Amino acid sequence: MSSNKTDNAVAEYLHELELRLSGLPVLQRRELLAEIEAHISNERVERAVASESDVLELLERLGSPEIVAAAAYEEAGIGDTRRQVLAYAGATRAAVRPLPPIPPPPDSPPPAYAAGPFPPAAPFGQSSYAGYSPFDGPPPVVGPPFAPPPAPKQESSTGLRVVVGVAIAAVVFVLLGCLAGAFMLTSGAEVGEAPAPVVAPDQVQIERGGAPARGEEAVPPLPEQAVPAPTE
Amino acid sequence: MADVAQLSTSLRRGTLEFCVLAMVEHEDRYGTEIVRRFGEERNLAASEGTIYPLLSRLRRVGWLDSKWSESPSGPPRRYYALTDTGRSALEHFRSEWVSFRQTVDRLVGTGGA
Repeated sequence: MSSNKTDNAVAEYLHELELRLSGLPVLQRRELLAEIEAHISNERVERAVASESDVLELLERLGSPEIVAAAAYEEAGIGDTRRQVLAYAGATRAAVRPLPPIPPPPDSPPPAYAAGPFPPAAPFGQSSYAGYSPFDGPPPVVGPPFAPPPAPKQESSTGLRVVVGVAIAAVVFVLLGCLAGAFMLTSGAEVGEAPAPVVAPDQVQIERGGAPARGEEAVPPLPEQAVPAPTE
Repeated sequence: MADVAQLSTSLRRGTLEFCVLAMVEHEDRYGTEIVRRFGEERNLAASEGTIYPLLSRLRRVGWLDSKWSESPSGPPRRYYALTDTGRSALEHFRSEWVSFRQTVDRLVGTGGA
């Protein structure tokens, strides 16, 4: 009776872990499940873990399937979920504010481990390495609804789209601003400044009958005469 | 802006794996043995199940080797052994760690007497 119950608890734990690991390459998933299962068996035999509460405590020490799966994804270089959540939050903020600081591209950095300085030596006898490709991102998963990696992945790619859209809009806005500024500068020069030197000498010459403008007389009247000139 | 609760996680990241390498430096050990050893260390205490993905990665990068072997009492055990590249990675970490620790001690004022 009790043994049945504890077996159920273990089976349930392993089943849920397997569901959550569905985003891992199959061999890595099998490897991890085999290890966890062996761990549980080892503990039960070698530490005489028999009662239901002992088994539950054993599972508790292992960590929830969610925690173990998150560690597995992180170590596999597939979607550090915490990082993706942060990137997603950044993208959402960016969508709300007009000119955001561009958040880091959600897809790029795998955890530092995976990109580490060591060569990913692939001894061929080690079967579970064969299907392993650390930088591919999560394989498409048709699996159960609560497998962690597909969801954040999708979120982050929509986040990326939003960021790109906002960035394009910002660039267009800045360009338009530059154009408008340039236009105002040129038109402002035509209206305000250009006529003054052109009109003023004419009028000076007309009024003075072509007399050579002497320095002290020609210059002071200039502004007075130049200003009404365009309005006439 | 690391959350205070994240501190030990952050400290563990990047160092725990070398503790694992050191643990199998002189003799091969099987998974449960390694996990139990970590369970005894308060400061390193993490969910035991997260050690296995770590072992898996160390094996994939070639720092650890593993082989299954029959157990007298229970299910087969998977024994882990340090490879040559794992050994040099561990040596490299040791020298890096000493100077890293000294720098942090100096800057943070934890050098002590």
